[in-house]
Amino acid sequence: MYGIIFVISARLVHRFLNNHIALGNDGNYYSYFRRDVRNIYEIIAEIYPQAKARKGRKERKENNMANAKYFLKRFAMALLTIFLVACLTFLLMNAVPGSPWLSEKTPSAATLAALNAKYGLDKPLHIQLFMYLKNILHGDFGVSLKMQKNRAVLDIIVDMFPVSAKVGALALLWAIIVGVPLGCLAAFKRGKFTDSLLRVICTLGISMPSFVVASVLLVTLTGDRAGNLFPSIFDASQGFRAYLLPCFALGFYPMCYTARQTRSAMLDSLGQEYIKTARAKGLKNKKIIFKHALRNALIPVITYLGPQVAFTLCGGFVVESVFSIPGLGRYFVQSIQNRDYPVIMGTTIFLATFIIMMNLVVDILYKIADPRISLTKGGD
Amino acid sequence: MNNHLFELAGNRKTETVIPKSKKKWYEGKPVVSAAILILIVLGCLCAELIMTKDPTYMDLLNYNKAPDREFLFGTDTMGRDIFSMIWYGGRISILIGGLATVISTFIAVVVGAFSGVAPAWLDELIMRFTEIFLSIPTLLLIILLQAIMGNANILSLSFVIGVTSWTSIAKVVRTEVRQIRNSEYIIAARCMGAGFFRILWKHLVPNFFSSIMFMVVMNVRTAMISEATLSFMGIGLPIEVITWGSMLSLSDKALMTGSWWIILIPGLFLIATVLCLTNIGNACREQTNRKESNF
Repeated sequence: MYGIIFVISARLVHRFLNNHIALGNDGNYYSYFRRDVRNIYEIIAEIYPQAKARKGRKERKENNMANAKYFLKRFAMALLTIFLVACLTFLLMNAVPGSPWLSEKTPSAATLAALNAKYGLDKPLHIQLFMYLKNILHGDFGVSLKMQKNRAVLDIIVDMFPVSAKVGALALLWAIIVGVPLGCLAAFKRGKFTDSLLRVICTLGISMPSFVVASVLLVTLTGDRAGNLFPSIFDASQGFRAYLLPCFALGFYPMCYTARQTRSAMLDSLGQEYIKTARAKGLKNKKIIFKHALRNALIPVITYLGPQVAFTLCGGFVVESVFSIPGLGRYFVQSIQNRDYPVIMGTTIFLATFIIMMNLVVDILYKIADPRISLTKGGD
Repeated sequence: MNNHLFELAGNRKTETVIPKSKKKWYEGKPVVSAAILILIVLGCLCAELIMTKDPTYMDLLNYNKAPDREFLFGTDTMGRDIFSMIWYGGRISILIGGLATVISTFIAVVVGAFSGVAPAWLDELIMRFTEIFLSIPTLLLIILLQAIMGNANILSLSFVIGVTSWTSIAKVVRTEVRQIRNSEYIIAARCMGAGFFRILWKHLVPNFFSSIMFMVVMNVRTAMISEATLSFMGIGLPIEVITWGSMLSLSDKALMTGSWWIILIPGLFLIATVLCLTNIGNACREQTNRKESNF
């Protein structure tokens, strides 16, 4: 990046001096400079021959406008979705039979009224909804009613999400780091034994629910019989050993899916004309695969990243429960079992927001990765 | 000598083209998967004939027993015979998978077809709604809905799973319907006064069914996994209702005693079924779009 800036500024200075000498100094440096700045696109085109082939400035400007419009529209859609999710969650939670005060001992009517008044449960529904939304905007998701009494839900989320995020990110990381090369390998060895073997593994991985993987790992690799190779209850202080099994279980499905996607994208891109050209030029296989085919094959893989993030987070519910990881997913499941409504609502809205935002980011990344994709035509 | 003078350049023996042997009927079809799946489904349907014990009976003398001659797959921590439970519980697992898929396919076909024939603004509205629905993670939605519906039973669980998994099919149906909605035969049918559902059933469904077949099969699989996951986490069916998922939910107890059979055997059956379904689904997809890159 700095290199590019340096080259551009060096060219600017060079041009400026050239003009200065050729046209004689009439003292108006500013206009020259402005012209030079305007010519910055040309300079970039000089440095990057590919940029020359791009569209004219005006067209590019229009294109940028269309992109900006699209991104704004997507952003507005995402906000609307989050709003709807929040409303839906609130209304659904209100439709649940039973009240949060229901326990072994029924409190007296006076206590109930006092409790309802304290938490604003005596007001009409739409006012409650409005209040709730207003509070959310202020970062107030209410307080936990049962599990950690009177602790702010946001506080709990902030406390627990990093654990989930770390496990999820590690899982996704290994899924991509292993999945993409495996996919390439399968595509390159198409029809050979390696391909068949990978195909079997991938189909198996896609079919195995993450909790089965997790349970099988637990029963085979932990405990006394395996010589306490791995801890069966998650313990962050053990570092690598603690994270290995949960991340493997969580990342196995995304890994297999990534491998499959990469394989089919690679096969698509290996059949393209420019690969033939590269072969005809006599390029080495390694160069063809990594420089020409893989770059293009990775673009469709990016599209799958968004849903994968969502999957990894939701898969986290299960894997965290199995390995007793103190993360948000496990807490969410526990809060449902305990019917701790503010926690359920807060967590749902938080996770949905996170996933919607990740999808948005992936969409934008996709556009950046492949400028040929026209955004204005709509998603289907 | 004379012969050599008039030798034709490039003259070769006529190539005899050996006709390729006809493709066998099973080639390119997931025969093994289908066979295993049929075997499992039949076994579950005829559970009463196979079962050696009463699956609900808790034999307190023989709890947590490793597989032996009497208890083919061992017993679980409550002393129930796993061999009998597999067949008996598989019935409910498969039932939920099927039921949820029927519900989701029905919703998808109706919504998708309606959106396909609807005026542009309504179509836009429905599709936006679908997209919003799609952007909420399914498992989150299922758990939330199930929490609201209260204690789960087979019907409510199938309903919840079905209601949450129709979106992707609906999108495909809508695209297909938009392509064929102005065909002559549809217009003819409309001129003759056929209703929406008649056209849908008689003309549209046969046309787009092959393209959603793959997704329908995959939905069965997803529904089964969802059910198992929910039951496993203890938010799905209660432990008294025997399914593969609820059998797996005993795994934390099994872990403490180190009884691998409680986890591995239901897991194996679940994976086998799901694997077969995946294979069949992939074969369906290959049938519809014959791209070489497909698996």
